[in-house]
Amino acid sequence: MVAVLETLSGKHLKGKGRALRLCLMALLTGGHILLEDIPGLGKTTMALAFASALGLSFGRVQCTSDLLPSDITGLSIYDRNEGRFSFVKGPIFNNIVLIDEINRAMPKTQSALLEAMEERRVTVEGVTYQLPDPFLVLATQNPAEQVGTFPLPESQMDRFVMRTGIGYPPEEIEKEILMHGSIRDEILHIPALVTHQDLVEAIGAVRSQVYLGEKVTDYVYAIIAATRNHPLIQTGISTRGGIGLVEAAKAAAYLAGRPFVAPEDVREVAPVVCAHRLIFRPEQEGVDKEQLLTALLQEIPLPLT
Amino acid sequence: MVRVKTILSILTLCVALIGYLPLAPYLDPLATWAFPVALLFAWFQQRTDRSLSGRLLTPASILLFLYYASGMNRDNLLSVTANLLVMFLSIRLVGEKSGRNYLQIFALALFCLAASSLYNLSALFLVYLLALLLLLAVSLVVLTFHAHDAKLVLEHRQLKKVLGVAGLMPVAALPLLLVLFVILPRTQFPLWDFLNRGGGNRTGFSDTVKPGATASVSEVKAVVLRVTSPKIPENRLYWRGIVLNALQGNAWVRVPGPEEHSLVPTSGELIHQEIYPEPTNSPYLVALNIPRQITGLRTANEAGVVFKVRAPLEKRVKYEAVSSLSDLVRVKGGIDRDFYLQVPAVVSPRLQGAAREISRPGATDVEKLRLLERFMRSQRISYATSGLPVGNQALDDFLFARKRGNCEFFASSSALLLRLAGIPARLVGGYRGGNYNEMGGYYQVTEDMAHVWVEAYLDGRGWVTLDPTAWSIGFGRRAALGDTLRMYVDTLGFYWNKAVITYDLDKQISLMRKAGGAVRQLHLPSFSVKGALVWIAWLVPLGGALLWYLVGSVSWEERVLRRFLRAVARRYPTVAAEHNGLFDLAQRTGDPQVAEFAAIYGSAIYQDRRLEPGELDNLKQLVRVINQHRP
Repeated sequence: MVAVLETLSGKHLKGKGRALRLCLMALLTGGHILLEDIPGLGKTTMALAFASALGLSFGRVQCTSDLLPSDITGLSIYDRNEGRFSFVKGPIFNNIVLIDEINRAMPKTQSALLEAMEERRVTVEGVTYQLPDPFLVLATQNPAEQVGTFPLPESQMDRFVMRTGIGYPPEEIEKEILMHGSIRDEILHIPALVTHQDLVEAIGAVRSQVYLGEKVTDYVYAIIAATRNHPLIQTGISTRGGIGLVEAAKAAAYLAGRPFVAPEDVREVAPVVCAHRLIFRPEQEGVDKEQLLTALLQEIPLPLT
Repeated sequence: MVRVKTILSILTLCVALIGYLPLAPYLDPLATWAFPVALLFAWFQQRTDRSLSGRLLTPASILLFLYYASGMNRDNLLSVTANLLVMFLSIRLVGEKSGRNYLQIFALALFCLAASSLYNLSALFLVYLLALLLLLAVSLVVLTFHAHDAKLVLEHRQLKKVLGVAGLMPVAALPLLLVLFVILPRTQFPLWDFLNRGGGNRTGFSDTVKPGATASVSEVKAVVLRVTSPKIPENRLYWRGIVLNALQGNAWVRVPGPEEHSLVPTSGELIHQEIYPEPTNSPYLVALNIPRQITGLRTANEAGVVFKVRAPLEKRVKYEAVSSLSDLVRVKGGIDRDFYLQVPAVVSPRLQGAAREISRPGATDVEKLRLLERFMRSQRISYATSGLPVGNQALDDFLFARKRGNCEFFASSSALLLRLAGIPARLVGGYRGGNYNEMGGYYQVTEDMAHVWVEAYLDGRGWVTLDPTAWSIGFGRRAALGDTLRMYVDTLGFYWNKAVITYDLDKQISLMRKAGGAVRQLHLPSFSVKGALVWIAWLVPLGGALLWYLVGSVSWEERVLRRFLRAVARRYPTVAAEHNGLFDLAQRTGDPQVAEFAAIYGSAIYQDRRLEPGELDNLKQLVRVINQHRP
């Protein structure tokens, strides 16, 4: 897994190491990731490269305000030759689904999507269809445009295990990208670096073989408790958020090659896992959630003994 | 080419051997054989450059200590100590040796040699001592080389030079040592109480007894003399000084009397004493009643078993006495009865009446004595040192009116009554009682113990000792002995005085031996091994708990972590900021040792288990490596 990460970030997707790593973590934990950034920073490219490097199928949904749930899940079409309805799977029946600008979709579509993410299955016309495994939703959200959007409510944000930005690539790399142009074609031909079996095993290993000790549990709890007692925060991290934090930390530990979770793992993933779950008091809306969380983490000492 | 370590090892073995040899004949079999085995073992270890680890040896020493300590009582203190010293020495020999361990071996060898001197002191001791000093000096020099660089290798010529210079040092120091040895103990100042010593102006017992001269007697606690002797029953503790043979007016004095040939009985228990009087202006020598002979000073024997020196003892001296615990001095050829029957011209009628009562017609001398005792007891006189009768008629007042007085009144009146009743009588001055110092084995006699008693002459027997004060009410109840601390201080002062007075090599050495004996005589209250073990069983966990509490119950993990963090902070001052995790540190420093530490430590701590001993050793080793590579 680490080798995949290194190959991808070193060869094809320069300067996106962190985002890639987080995506991989999300995949390993079985969660989903919300990328919040302006368009044109390579979100789609990254998702494509990610899917092809892992040998997974890729689906894409471009959200608009008139997107219907059936556009995502698929629908039954009448087959005239056979004389009956047959189900045509939507883009969600892929291992990796990129949902672009999720905040442009109507709440109805959003909730259908989020339900599918949570349940990992889709029910259409009374028939339940299992989604493929592994299943990762990469949703993007454009924070700049607010006209004609339906921002995800906090309760739905909670469904994403992580939220992060991609950020601009470093200067050198950006210059290089400018020189060579888009690499979209190249990416489509990245050979699969791991087998499907490996991936499933890795996911199983993260879930069952990475050990979470008492001290680290205490540390996680300390973080959660701190968000709940912070004066600027109205609602702290929920128990589901805590579970997400632990799972993400396990994935981080797995990627670092450790059979146990170190407090550093927790600290590494905490901003991306927790920030979007915090609900500030109305008068404090402008505060950056990730920054606040980082400052909060600075005050909680790592358990060393 | 010779390795310094080899030289040091051989020197150390020699030093240990010199410590062991003089002590060998007095050890128990275990220690006797353990040492040669350890020596051989150490020799082979030195050849193969190996050693046993302290983890094995420290518990072994503790077990040995417990084993020997359990068999300890105050009679075998010395042998237990000697055995323990040798066992510890053996253990140290086979253990791993750092500079500190070498020093421990040297110290143990010295102690062993010192312990042997408590058993036996021959000229061989001096040989051992000199050899040990020489070897120690050389070893210490070599040890500094070793401490500087344990792997140092010297060429033969360099080695010769080092050993030569090192050997020269103790040789050069020897003459100085001898000078100091001769000069130093000759000081006349007592170390312990030279600031407030009261010697010189003390009176001691007086050579005149005149009851009625003062109304009270002050009780001074100053020490008059110290006497080493075995313990004697309290009622025989009469220290004889002077005999007052004549009554002049109201005063008993000593006048040159008729010659008499006193015979102190040879039967009865003979007590040898060494007597150390404090400086005094009295020429009379004091010894336990009745002294047969006094040696050590030039004395003149006077009539009535009195020893007198020509000049008062103004310096600290010592003399020896042999006394017979008897209350009878026979006189060869009889005495001058008239001399001892002289009475004053004026005697009060009541006294004469009492004398008539005693000298009943037909009564023998023995009966008269009994009658005197009955008379005195019937008067119910109490012993007192204040509110005493005064004046010319003090004795009459004492017997019939006030009925209180001190020994002078009792003795004077009894002697006078005896003389009136026709029995020759005289007064004996000296001291009664004494505080026995168990530690030093000596009696301490203080000034307030000054006493006067009576000797009556019985025809056919001789001078019989009578203590009329014993017939009083309230006599004999003495204040408790001085507190223990004062006793110890007094003992030390006494030994110091003894050492100064009787200075010679022989005595110096026997002083050392006495000290060993004194330790053996230490009087511990109801000491038993079992009790001690119970106490130890209580105290050891208690002490452990206290230690645990004080150290703050710091686990091994915490300790090694602290050391690690310090080491990293020293080596990477820019990286090691606060709030860094171990893996953070590993990543930021990029140091493989730090990473390894983090991996081992973290895998234990964050998986809820303790560090295993092997891991702990690994970690310590890593910290050492990190410490070594300073920027």
